[in-house]
Amino acid sequence: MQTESLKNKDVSLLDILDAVLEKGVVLRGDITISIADIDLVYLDLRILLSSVETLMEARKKPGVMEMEQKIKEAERGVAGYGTETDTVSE
Amino acid sequence: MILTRHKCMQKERIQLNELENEELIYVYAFLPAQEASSEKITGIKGIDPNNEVKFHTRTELTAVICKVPATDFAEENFKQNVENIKWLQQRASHHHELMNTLHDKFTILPLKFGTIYENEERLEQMMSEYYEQMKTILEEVQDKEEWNLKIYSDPQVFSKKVLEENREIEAKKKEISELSKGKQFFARKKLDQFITDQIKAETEKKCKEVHDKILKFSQNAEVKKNWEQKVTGRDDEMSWNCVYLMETGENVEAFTRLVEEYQKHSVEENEGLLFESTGPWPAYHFANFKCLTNSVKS
Repeated sequence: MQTESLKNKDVSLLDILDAVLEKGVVLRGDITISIADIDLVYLDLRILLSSVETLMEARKKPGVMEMEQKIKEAERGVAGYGTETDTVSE
Repeated sequence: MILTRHKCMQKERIQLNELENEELIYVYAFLPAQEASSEKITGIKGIDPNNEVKFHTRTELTAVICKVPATDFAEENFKQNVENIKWLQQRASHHHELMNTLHDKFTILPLKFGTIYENEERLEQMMSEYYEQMKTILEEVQDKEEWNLKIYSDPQVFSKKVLEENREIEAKKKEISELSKGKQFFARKKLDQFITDQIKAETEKKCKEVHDKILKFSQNAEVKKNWEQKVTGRDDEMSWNCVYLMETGENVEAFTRLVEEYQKHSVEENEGLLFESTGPWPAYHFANFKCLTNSVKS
């Protein structure tokens, strides 16, 4: 498990914003903000002061066939869980 | 016509000048005046670098404040500023770091970023109006801290599990392949939805199990929205995002141990769960009361 102590300042900006902003971090539409040390942050800061607006569900769900393919790949070790998350969390 | 426009411009200029000289009060937190009198905070730069962090005490409560220029923090200007990520990053980080310092030393009722009062009278008015409520909250959060737990799930592990455990899916797929092309399309969609729902139910069941155990040694909890993959930028899915209010010490240790055990178990059994916890946070989520975020009109 990764336990991040807040004292070492390693907590991500996203975590901080999610805690200190009135409505937390919410994704709306295509608002994309790019910061130097963080890859990509999608935020809706407008919700800070305005009412909640409809959130866009933009994520495409994979189909059965696609999922089966992925599982087969995983079984062959093409896209193992460990290796993938390692690169992501770095 | 020309005259009117000229008049308007003059008026605008006056308003801008007024704003330049005007100071507002940024409030970080409230604490019992008794605690504030025992320890001084001096020389700490505030959210406006030209002003220091100060205590403002009224009877039994102390507000931790900083004077800020209206040019930065009056409502309209503030709205524009928070959209500038650099501006926001600096201020939100400052807010968070100062709150940690306060939380180390005092019992605090932490406020959200951007809580601003027009002047001392308004602040004091609010402090006396909500005195009882604040006192209760301060008692509730005393000697406690907030911990955030996020649980990520590997969709591949969970879909594999669902497909294995639901034998009827295989049979349904066979059925579908015998249908006409048009019917196949909709039947597949339906089956997809069924599998997705099963995966969600399965991950939720697992997370809920952990959650219920944590509840036993936490005083309060707030389940938050899971961040979408677009936000996290990760391949696995956030399946749980919750903050817990816990007593400093034994409770927190028990929480850390429990989460470690679950993580170990998940790795050993290839359950596809990844646990990430952050803390200690000041009790941001457990210090809510209405009417606190009166923003100031510019």
